[in-house]
Amino acid sequence: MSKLLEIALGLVTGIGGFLEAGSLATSAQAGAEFGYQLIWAIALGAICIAFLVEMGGRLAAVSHHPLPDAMRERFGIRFFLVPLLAVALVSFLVLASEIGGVCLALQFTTGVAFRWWALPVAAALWLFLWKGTFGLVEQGASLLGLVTLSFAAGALKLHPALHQVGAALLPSLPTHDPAKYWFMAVSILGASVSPYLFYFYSAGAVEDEWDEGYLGINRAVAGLGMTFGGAVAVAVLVCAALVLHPRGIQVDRYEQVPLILTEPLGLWGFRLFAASLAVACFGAALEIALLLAYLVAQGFGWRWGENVRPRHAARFALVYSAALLLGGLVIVTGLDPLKLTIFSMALTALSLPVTVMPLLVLMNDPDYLGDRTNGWLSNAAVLCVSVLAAVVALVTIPLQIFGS
Amino acid sequence: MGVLRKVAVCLLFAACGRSATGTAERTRAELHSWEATRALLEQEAARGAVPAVFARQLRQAAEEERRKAAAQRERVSAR
Repeated sequence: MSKLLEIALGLVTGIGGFLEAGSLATSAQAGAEFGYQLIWAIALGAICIAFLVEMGGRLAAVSHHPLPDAMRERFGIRFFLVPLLAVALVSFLVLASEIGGVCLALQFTTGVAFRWWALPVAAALWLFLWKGTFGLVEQGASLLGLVTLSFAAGALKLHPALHQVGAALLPSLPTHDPAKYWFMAVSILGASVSPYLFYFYSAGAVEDEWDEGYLGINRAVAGLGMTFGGAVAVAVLVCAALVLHPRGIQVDRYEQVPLILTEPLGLWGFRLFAASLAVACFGAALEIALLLAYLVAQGFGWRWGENVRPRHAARFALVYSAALLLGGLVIVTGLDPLKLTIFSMALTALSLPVTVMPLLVLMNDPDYLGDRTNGWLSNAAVLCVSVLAAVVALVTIPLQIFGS
Repeated sequence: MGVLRKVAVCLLFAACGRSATGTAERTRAELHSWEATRALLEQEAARGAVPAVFARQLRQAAEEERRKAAAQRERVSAR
C-alpha cells in the first residue's frame, strides 16, 4: 500500500512538475505556428527525460551517491567543472525564466508590470526554501501544480481530432519556415530534457535515503510521471493548435497565450491559466534554485540538505539565496521573458551532450551500479536524442538570432 | 552523420533564402497575427472571458507589435 502511495505521489510530482515556463511557452508557440506537427518533439523529449530521471534515481538508490558527488569522484575535479558550469549556466537562465513566468502571471491579474514583481517573487521563493523542507518543496509544489491539468480539460473541450494528434507522434518535415520549425523542435527538447529535472530527482532520492528496494517505484515514477507530464504539454500544444493556428496567430508575446484557455473555458480559463503559470513556474523555480545549491555543495563536498537548518549548511543556503537574487535581478532589467525562455531552452538542448554524457558513463560503471548498469536501449535512446538535439541547436540558434 | 549533415545544409540554405522577400513575408505574417490576436481578444472580451485589466494589457501589446511590424514593412518596401 505504501508503495502504491509512493508511486501516486511520484505521478503527481511528474504531472505537476513537468509543465513550467519553458514547456508552456514552447508548446504554445509550436501549436500556434505548426499545428499538431511538433507533437513528436514533446513525445521524444518525454521518453528521453523518463530514461534520464530513472537513471538519476537508480544511481542514487544503488550507489547512495548524489550525481555531482559521483561525477567529481569518477572524473576528477577538473573535468567535473565542465558539466558543473554547463548545468549551472543553463539552469540559472531557466531559473530567471521561471521567475519571469511567476511575475507575468501576477502582471496578467494585477496590471502591475512584471519587472516590479521580480524581487518580491525572488524573496518569496527564498523564504519558502529557507523555512521549508524537501517534502514541502517536492510534494507541495507538485500538488498545487495539478492545476496545470486545466490544459487537458481545455484540450478535451476543443474536441481535437485524435487520429491527427496520434499521427503527429511521428516526426514529419515542415511545410513552411524550416529554420523556425527545427528551432522550435530543439527548444521543446530543451524544455523537456532540462538537466535540472534529473539532477534534482537524483538529489531528492539521496535526501529521501532511497535504497535498492525503491528501484521498482523509481521505474514506475519515471515512466508514468514523465508520460503524464508530457501529455499535459501535448494538451497545451493542442489548445494552441486549435485556437491560435487556424487564425494565423503566432505567439510573439506571453500575453497571447492565455487566449488558448479562454476560448474553451471562458473566464475560468483565464483564471486557471494565470494560476497554472504562477504555480508551475514557482514550483520549477524552487527546484532549480535547490538544484543549483545541490550541484555546487555536493560537487565541492560541502554540507548540504534542504532538511538541514540553513545555519548548519550555510554555504548550501548561500548558493540558492544568491541564485534567486541574481535570477530576480535579470527579470528586473525588463528582458522579454518569452525570448529569454525560448533561448534558455535552445541553449539547454545545445548543452545536453555535456550534461548527459558524464551521467551515461557513470550509469555504465559497475563500481557505482554493480549489476544495475544501463541496458543498450536506455544508452542508445539518451545518446541519440542528446546528440541530435545539440547538433540541430548548433545550427538553428544562429539562424534564429541573425534571421530575426 | 550523413543525415545530420544534410539537415544542417538544408537549414543553412533556408537561412540564406531569408532575403528581402523572406523578411517581407515574415512581417506580413506578424501583422496578420497581431490583427487576428486583437480580433480574438475583442471576441473574448465581449463574452466576458477575459478581465478588463488583462484585456488592456493585450490591446497595448498588440498595438505596440502591430506598429513595429508596420514600420518594418515600410523599411522593407523602401529598399
